[in-house]
Amino acid sequence: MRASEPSASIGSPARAAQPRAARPQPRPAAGDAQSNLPPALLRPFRLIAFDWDGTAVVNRRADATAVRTVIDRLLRQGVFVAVITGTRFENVDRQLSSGIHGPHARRLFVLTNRGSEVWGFDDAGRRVSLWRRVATPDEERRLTAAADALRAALVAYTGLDIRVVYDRLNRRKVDLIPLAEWADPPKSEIGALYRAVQSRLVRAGCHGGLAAAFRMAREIARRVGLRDARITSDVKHIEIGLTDKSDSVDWLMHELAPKHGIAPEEVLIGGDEFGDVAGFEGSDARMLTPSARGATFVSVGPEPGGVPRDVIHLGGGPQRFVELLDAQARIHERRGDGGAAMPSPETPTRATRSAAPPSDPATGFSAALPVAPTPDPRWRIVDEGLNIAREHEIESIFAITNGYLGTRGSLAEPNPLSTPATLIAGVYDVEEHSPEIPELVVMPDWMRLCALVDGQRFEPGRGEILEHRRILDLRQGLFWREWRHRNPDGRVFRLRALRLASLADRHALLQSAVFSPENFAGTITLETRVEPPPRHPTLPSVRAVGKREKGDVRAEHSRAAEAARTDPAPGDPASTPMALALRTPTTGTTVAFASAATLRPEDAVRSIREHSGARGRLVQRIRADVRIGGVYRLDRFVSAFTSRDTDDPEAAAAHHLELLRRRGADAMIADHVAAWRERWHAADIEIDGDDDAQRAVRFACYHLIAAANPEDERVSVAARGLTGPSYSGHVFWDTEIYMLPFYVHTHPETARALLMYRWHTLPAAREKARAHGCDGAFYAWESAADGAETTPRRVLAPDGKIVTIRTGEIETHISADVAYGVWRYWHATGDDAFLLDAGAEILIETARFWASRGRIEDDGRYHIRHVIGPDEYHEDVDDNAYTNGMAAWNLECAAGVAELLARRWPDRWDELRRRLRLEPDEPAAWRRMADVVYLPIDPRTGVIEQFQGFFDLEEVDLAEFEPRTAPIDVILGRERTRRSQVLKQPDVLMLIALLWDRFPPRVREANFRFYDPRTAHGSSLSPSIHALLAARLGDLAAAERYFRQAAEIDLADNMGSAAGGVHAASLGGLWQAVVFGFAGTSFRDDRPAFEPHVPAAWRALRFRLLWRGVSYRVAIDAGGAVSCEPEPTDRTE
Amino acid sequence: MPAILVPLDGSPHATVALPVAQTLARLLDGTIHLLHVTPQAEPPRELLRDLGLSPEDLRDVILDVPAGDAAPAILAAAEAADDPIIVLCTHTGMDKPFGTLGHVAEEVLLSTHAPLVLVQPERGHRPWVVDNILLPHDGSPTTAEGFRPASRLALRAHAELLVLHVAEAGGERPPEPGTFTLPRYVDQPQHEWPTWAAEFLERACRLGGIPDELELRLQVATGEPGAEIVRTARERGSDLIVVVWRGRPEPDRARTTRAIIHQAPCPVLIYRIDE
Repeated sequence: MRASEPSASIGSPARAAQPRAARPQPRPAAGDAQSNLPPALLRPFRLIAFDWDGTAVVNRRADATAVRTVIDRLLRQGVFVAVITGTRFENVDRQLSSGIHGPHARRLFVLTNRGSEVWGFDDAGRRVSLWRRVATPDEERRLTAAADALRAALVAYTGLDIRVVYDRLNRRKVDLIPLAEWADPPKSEIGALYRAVQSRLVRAGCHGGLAAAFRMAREIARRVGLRDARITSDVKHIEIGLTDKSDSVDWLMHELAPKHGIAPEEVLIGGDEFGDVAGFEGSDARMLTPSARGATFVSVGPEPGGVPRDVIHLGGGPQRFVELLDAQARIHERRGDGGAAMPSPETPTRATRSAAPPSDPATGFSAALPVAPTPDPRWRIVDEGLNIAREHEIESIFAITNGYLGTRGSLAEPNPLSTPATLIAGVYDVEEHSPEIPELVVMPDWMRLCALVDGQRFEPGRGEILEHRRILDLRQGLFWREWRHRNPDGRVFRLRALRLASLADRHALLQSAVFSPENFAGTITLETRVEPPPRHPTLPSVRAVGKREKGDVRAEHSRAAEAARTDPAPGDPASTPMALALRTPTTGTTVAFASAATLRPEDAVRSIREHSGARGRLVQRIRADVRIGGVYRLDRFVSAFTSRDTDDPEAAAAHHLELLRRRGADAMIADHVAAWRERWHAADIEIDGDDDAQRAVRFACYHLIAAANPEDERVSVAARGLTGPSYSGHVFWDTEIYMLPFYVHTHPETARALLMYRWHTLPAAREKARAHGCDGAFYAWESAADGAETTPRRVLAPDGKIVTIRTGEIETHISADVAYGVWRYWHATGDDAFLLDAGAEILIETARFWASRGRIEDDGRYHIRHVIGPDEYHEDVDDNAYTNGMAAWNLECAAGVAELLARRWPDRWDELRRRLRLEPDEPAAWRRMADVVYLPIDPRTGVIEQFQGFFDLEEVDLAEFEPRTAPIDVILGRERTRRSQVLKQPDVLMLIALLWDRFPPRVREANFRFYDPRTAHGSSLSPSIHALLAARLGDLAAAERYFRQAAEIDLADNMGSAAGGVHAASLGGLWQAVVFGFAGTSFRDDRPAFEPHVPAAWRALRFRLLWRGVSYRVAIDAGGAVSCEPEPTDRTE
Repeated sequence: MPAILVPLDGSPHATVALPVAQTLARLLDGTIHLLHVTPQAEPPRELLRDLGLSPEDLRDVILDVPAGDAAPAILAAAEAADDPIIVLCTHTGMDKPFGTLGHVAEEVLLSTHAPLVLVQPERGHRPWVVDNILLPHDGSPTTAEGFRPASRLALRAHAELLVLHVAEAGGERPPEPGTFTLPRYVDQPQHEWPTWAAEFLERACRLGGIPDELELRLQVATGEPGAEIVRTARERGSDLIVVVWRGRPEPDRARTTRAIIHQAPCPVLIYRIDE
């Protein structure tokens, strides 16, 4: 390897950066060039991307003939070439692209303006815009505000002339030295420039110099609300922007490379400043993005501060870079592949690439998993590294659930803040300290898996993590883990593993891991465990059962309490299937988990030993002989059943496990991925132009799909789904009002099952109504297995005071919410069987509740007193607008359905009427009440008073308390909040959102303007509804702000909101904000209609909607043009 | 075994650091180093007289008399020690009002990376007992990490730890990933508050190395953090406030730290973790 150029420092500018490449250099003989290059650069790369100024050419005025010539050769050989530059297209075009003609120019890409633009070329060599980051007006304003604020701060600090350059795409440049002699400094003068800038700032009083200015820029950008601002510096300027070179590399890796089947290992990325320069990150360091992991990086710069570990330092400047390109061109010319994708041992294809080598060159054994993580960043959530401070929220966000069970995204090895938990829908128990409050039960921890060599475990807390990430693959419903680790004894191994809770077979769980010992050989022990859960901080746990009538359940389905096989049967390297049975302590539900593991290649296995411990623990150990660089795959099948599913869950689990083993891991994965594909076909929302919004909406859809089980109509979706312990698995109005629309329009079977849960729990709702002196059905504010009220009665608030909770007693609107869900489902599906079997009964029983809970008083109006509306800051109020409005709707709807049934299905109506002992005049009475409901609209302002006396309360300017780090009722105190017009969440506005067509436009607008500034958004259910309403009203600035706020509830990395589980209602609200808000979907004249107001950055919005058995493909472009086409019905069945 | 450095300048106020240092030395098995920085060497007998120390004060104590300026010498001594803790009077000038930081203390505060205990002269020479330790916590992982020295001390002293989280209207949430502050959203208080409190304390314990056997309480306050921390320390009779400081001296950054130093009713342990 050739030594690098003499190092340069800020004090002695790079000597390499002299204009040596001003003339075309004679092409070195292939042997010469290649012998001077490290072997890692002598394999063919299919995509070569590089910085321009300083890497490919000395400066923008230099003669670029040499580099252009060799690039032309590479393009002709089918190599993709990408130039990454901070400057404008014209500057590169002059030196490069204007001189390349012919169809091969289509493989040339110029990524300009510091990550903000991508240009390609057509056959005629004309440039084509492929991508452009368009700043929103709000972002433009913030960029300018940040630059102005930085300038003002520096001027105040130093008194110097500091200027702002505004006319740059997606960025502002603050010129620290706007002096004539430094107007356009060449890159080679960076050392002198640095000294000049530093001296200028320090002398004027900014003692921290450029570094301090840089820090200030970062702080100011954050303060003005620039999310993910990119702060860079070329020493002369501090630049505040929306993009940087990482966006260019991400585009190449996510858009270009996947499209052409180019693996990261086939990508070469070149630059000249990867290392620090004067204490600053070099300008090319941003190209080291996670998306390019696996690519080869090379620097030809002097790199006085050294290069990051993953970068090959070649040195030699542009001349050396031309030599490198020339060597590449020769390699390709010799291969003569002319652009064909030619996989080679060194260049794994996309299908086979893996964090662990996909195949073992020595044995030919292929351990490749049948799928790889979805490369598109808009389809995945990534947690890079391992920050245990975020462990709880990561575990929630990365949970894999399928509606039957959910497993948090914990690692297979414990860490101090890890709380692994598997939850099964409908399995509740109570704890001694609160026997009236059932809570979901923590199931056995089936994820434990570790590798041991010489008794030493590989675990993140020991040794050095060389690489670690968790990926939630939204598209495929997979949890991925990629990990490279060095143990304290120096052994290094690499692993890629997936985990799934099958959507195709809800009792099936799978772990598949491909691993490779990189630098060691010997005997490795793989230990898998199913363990009774450790005591959970907040939830009850299942416990080991002892003897039961049939004998010891552990022994019953294990082949033996302890089994050892030193000679596994040929072709059957699997461990013995073993089942673990546990029981909920109070409710007595039995749960059984069966597990078996398989290691391949089979001949590596030396022994398999199973152990069923006395404390109800299954341990399976596979000992295997491994070689350096060998590749191995472990598949672990797990099956789970409970006594809710079958009389003998152990037998069911064991039998099911056997079926899974026969089917095999690859088929299981394929089934699962296919099931997800099917659901995404109906549920996906595509947003072009806003990757954050796209990812957030897909994240929402992922967890909504995963939360519900259409096969079990005795469970519903809890407030946190099955992703975490918060809210104890209780079901709220969240399901019918926030989540149900998603299911109704993407998977009606699920919606139906959720509503059937409310039908099955009608007895408990009737009982609650009776207990409150009412008729009909008063649904539980919080509901668990049987629908009985499970709301805790009191809580210890953070100020140390005991607060009485009255929601279970007087938050009555839940009954109307359930009824609304019933009607909405029936209206959208026309499922008359459901209406006749269950829906009508719910509508009638809830209407009867309202008829008894409120009454027509002396003023001739129907009043409901002593309630809590959605705005729970105000308790025990009279005539809450939402409650009254929804109750009236419920009464009217039930009366209408009664008439419909009597007319269309008289026999069924008679049967229902008799069974419910419904008096003939009841429906008419419901209508009368609905007609005179107390819901006054101020004729002057159009505003609806939220409850009687609301307008008399204190007005509080919420803006004075922004930004807030606490809910407003904590800041103001409960009592003052109660006496103020501050709302926790939309109340009148919620009513308008649900019954939109019943309010004239003036009233909608007036109420939004009145209540929006009074809403403190103290509930996660709030921002999404305001986004929806603002969008429908055409207030896009507010809509986008609320949409972002809703999207960040689970995904922000400094809130920890998701620690107890994801916010399922907010996720449903986010979906509604897009479909009903931005797209403005409504259903009129028997087909969907649209009134879109789409954010400026959204170039297109596409989704599907199911309506009356027809799937509609909806596409809305940036101009608001809508296309809505029905699809063949067979797909929608 | 920590080296407990106690700078003395001969003023009566300076020696108020001694009772605190003695308790620390006892609890942590540390050795007290009295530091008297003089322009030139001084005979020991005269030195003891000048410092106002009794022979009792010098039991199991090492007396170092470096020459030079005070602050650099203190910093150098801390730099040279393996496990230093500096215990220092906030100011020794007689004419300064309560709450002022003398120039030596100021310089040491800004420059040292050793744990620094600041003792107000008003505390006098009463023996120091550590029963209650106040841990103001902004919810960031870095602050929790800074609880480790306090955990060690609390464990030895069998002290109760009170974790105080202050929410400030208009205050900003620390941007550090993994930060856990009061919830922005409290959908249902009956579920949210118990799980929030459990989560807040669990993170503080696991990240701050607080062992399970220590008694730990959580208190939440609203208002200006510095004032609330001082108020809580007064109300709860705290014996020590532990401040995790990110080493940012700019006025807006050090606002809370300075407010505590200036107004604390008890010694303040500053544990610095640079950003």
